[in-house]
Amino acid sequence: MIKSREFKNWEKVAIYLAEKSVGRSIPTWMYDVKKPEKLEEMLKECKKRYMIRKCVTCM
Amino acid sequence: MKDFTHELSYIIVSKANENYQYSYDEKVVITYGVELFLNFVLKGVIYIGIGFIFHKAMETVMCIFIFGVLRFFSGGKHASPFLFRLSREMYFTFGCIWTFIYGIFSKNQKHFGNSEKTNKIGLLIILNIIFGVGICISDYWRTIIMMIIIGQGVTLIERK
Repeated sequence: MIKSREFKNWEKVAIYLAEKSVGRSIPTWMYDVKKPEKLEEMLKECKKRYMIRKCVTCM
Repeated sequence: MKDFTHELSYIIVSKANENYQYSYDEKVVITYGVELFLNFVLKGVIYIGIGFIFHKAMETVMCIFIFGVLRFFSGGKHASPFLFRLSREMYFTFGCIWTFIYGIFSKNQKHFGNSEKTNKIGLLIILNIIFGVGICISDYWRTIIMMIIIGQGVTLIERK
């Protein structure tokens, strides 16, 4: 059964890094990781779902 | 490293996906984020490990730290077109300037005979062969050649 849950810390870190890499590469030498196309739009979707999930898990 | 970290991040996210079904966007973004993290951590460990083997761990850590701090606070952008798309004209201009620097500051006195003049001519011929190679190949490799030439030229200036 599919469970609804909030993101774990490592998932939050991954999303944070992906978000921070929009338009640049941080922190140091990440130049050879291929950036997904339409990353910004995907991040927006992720944030939306994250907020929904947070509301669901709080209830 | 690129494929390895990508595969590893894909495995991690797939494992997490068993418990909770990510949406397509979430899966792509989280895989990408994990890949960034692994790329950073694994490279860091490898660099420091190599530094440790050669008894230069502290120097490596310091270089990584300073480089990272500067990159982070200066915007951390990918290399600008100016740096990694050095045109042939720019390359030629830099080449002329640095040929003079090598000609003036070189102290080589043994590889092409006994006189300093002969040695400088020999050095400049080698330098121009390297420049010639740079003109024939891609912008990326041309820029790398130029960076090495500039770096070595700077050490000559310090020696004078």
